[in-house]
Amino acid sequence: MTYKRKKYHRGDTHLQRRWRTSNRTKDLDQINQDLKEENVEKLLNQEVDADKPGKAQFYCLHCARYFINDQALNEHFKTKVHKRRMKALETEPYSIEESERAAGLGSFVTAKKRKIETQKPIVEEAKRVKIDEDIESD
Amino acid sequence: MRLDPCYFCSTKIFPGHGIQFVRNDSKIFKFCRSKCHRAFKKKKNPRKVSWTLAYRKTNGKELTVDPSFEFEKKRNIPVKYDREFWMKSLEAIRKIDIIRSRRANHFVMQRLRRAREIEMQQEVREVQRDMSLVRLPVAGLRARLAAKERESQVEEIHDSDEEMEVTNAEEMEVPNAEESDIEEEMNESDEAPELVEVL
Repeated sequence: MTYKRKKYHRGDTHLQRRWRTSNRTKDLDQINQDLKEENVEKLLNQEVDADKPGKAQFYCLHCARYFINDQALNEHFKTKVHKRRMKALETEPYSIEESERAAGLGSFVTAKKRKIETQKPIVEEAKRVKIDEDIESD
Repeated sequence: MRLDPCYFCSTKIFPGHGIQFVRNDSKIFKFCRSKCHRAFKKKKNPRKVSWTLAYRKTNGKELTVDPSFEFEKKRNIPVKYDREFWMKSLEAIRKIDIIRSRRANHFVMQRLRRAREIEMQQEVREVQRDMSLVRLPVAGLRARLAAKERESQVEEIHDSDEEMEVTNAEEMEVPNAEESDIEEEMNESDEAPELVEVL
């Protein structure tokens, strides 16, 4: 007589933690919204926020992540994580409307492909100066 | 009562089933069971998970574009109860459902039929390509060579019409006298072509 193994999820804690609602990161369809022009400007020129990494001055749009300085951000553009995200954003993200169309509410439209480019790497001094000023004022 | 489709697998969610998640931008995601909810939490793409309807439709497994899909719609305006209207719409729903399922089934059958044809073509191509495995290229080589030799001898004497018949007969039937020799040769030659193929 064999018994079914009981503990399939031993050592899963780090995964479970990542999937918690409090740890949710932005979904692809939210990032798709961010890529619209009016939102891009807002996100790339944020005000100094001491609670965010790099005081919210170095933000990657596609990965929805803050970096501590321009060097870290520019290095990030070369990484696999970023390239993978760019690839995922190439097709239009899945949405609630699409799930309804798949269920038979209207004809199903296959997602289009588009060209996605990484934002320009930050080289200007302005943002660093912005942070320095903030530190001095403190 | 409204039967909403599941966000992940697009099947109907019946009352008392499933769970819903409200994102901080107030969008509501509905799930039919924990399997779908868990997949959503892991940020799986429904288009790439083969058991979802989104996958089946993006990959051309099911009927996607058809006027019969345009009838079902979310109607958020309440309509005053009217028995006649209600009966008519019920009848229409039944009719449309029959038409739609018939078209969907037809589409699937067409797809399967086409797949069968392609399969046949592939099989034929495979056999033709690997014909050397079915029949050794050197099988009956000695008999053929002997026939050729005899041909050249015959050519001097006879016309070309007769020699064609002779060669055909030689290929099909091996004379008794040479049989043992050929068998030996076959055993030797069995190994040789395989080696060549491996290289």
